[in-house]
Amino acid sequence: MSLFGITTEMLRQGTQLAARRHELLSENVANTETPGYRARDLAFSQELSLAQQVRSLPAGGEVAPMLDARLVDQPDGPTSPDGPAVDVDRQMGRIAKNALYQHAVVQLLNARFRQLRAAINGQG
Amino acid sequence: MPQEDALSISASALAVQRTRINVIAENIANAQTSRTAAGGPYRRRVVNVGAETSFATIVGAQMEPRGVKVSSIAEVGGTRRSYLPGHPDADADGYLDLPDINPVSEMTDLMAATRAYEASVTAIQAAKAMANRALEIGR
Amino acid sequence: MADPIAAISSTAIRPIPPVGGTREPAAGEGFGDVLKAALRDVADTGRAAEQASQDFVTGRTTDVAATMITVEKAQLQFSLMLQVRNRLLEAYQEIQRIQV
Repeated sequence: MSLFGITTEMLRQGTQLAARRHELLSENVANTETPGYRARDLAFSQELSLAQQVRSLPAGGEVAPMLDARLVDQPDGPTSPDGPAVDVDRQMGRIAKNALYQHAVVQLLNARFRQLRAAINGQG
Repeated sequence: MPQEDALSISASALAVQRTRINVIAENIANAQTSRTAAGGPYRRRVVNVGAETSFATIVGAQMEPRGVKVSSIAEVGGTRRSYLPGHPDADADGYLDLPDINPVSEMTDLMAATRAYEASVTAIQAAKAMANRALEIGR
Repeated sequence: MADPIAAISSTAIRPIPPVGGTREPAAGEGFGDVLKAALRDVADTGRAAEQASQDFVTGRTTDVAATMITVEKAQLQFSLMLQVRNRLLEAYQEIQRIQV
């Protein structure tokens, strides 16, 4: 019997997305001096993707991505005439927000696991 | 794991910014150098940064985070003629070639490089914090 | 000076209303009904927590505090229900022991 439903899977994908987004943003910060570099980001969609309307998960194997996140070009606008389009401060803001998101998602995961454990043990 | 790749990217950025800081410091220190060991006045150097071509390319996905590296350190600066008759290196007419280095502009570059360095340090700290939290899921 | 002890009148200190509404059993309502009501609360708050978690992770809401509060409420309701169920079980087992 499966203990873990759709929401748990979504939370798991959320942590994955947070990690990939951090990677992308770190790349932006690393390339403040690279001529012609264009900053990129992962955009989270507000709409739920179709896959999320699935009521139950397939038995095993790959689960379709449930969080709609698209890689987008997100240049910060020219910071210098011939320089790359990366605003370090704005990127740092995004990194901080992303870290907060990941922290919250991990907390939500922990809370679910804690509750499941309490149910199994009959205590707490 | 993605956190590891992010750490490599940030680490490569640190190395590049450190090199930039060193080169800028050299430019500032040598702003008045009329005679280098190789002869002739010092010339302003810049660090050319390029993307690291790497094994970290993720197959099948659109993202290829790579990191950065120094592609070259080039002498790009010119010289300016100054009239300094008392100077030991001055020619018969009292003129001297000095490096065309603007200390103010070098300082601005230095500040930018320092900020970029600090930003990568912060990115590394964020990556570590995220990895540690992920390790504690279910603990 | 006025009697300081009398000054601590009953109007100054009010009893704190119980959190989440009272669970006073009505006449004829037994432990079983309390448990059923607790289960209903668990289902309701559980659904809300599920929705809040999904909304947060998809980015539909960015209010971390509200999400955490909704989830925590569900956790507490769940713990309460567990406790009620455990007490019910203990009481039942004790009654079993009484029978000769």
